[in-house]
Amino acid sequence: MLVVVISAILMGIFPIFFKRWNEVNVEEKYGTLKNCTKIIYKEIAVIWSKPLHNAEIKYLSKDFLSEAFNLKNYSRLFDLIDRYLIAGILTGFLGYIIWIFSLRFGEVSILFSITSLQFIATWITGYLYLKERLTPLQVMGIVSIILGVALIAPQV
Amino acid sequence: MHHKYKLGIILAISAGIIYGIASIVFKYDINLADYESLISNTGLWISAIIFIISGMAIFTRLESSYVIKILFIVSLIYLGLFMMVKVSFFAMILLIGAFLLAFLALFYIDASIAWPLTGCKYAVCSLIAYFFLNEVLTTVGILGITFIMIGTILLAIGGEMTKE
Repeated sequence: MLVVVISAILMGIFPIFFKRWNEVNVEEKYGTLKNCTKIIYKEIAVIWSKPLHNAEIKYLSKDFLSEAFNLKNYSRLFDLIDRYLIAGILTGFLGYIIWIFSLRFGEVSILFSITSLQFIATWITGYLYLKERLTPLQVMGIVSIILGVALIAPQV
Repeated sequence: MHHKYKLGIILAISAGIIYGIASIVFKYDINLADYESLISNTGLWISAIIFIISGMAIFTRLESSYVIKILFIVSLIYLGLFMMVKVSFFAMILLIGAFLLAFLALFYIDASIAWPLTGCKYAVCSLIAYFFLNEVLTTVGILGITFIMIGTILLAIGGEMTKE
């Protein structure tokens, strides 16, 4: 039971890490996701299309290859892979794996219902960590979804 | 001959050659290697270990190491491929698509709203099973779906009211 609760908490907090990643890495540095994609794409495209614009540089030349495969030229891309993104992927992945394994040892009807705990975990961590504030209607909505999932999940 | 034009010609001819080879490969079902064996159970364990170790390493002094980040991404791709080949290709494609949509949703709305909204997967699952797979839907199930729908509407309306 404890393992399932842990997996539900892990599954619930991983969106928080992604949201934080978005705040720290995308919104702060680039403004929007579109801008971020555009800037990184341009940076990479400049390197890889150089031989098209400059006839002296050949695709298989040493100069081109050393530039194209120099990881420092992709620093913006690598900077996006930070501890928040990794924490999000790890917690999400581990949450699902632990949950799948726990299905072998417990009653499916109970275990499925416990998964609705993930929404409470998201709600609490969002409130504490990201300072997200919900309106009373939204709180009622989350409670309603949690109830609905607890009712329906054992039958899925 | 212009440089770009030359490259275009080379690419087009290469594409033609590869299309031709592909047709033959399809016709005679030629395989250079047993691809399924490339995605092996041993590989799964190795990639899972690399995935966890490289993930943990990001929280140490190796945070800015490109090699660690590459290892993490490669192991993640391997795990995804393993699921595609061994479990279900279509299901994995849908899962990745769903994950990307949920991930994108976080760019526009709060996590504490976006994540509960994904709870409608249970309702969708029940409805598909009822309409297309002839499974039974009990009163409790209908009640659950109703609760989820009401919750979804309340979450959406609540967000609109905050904007106003």
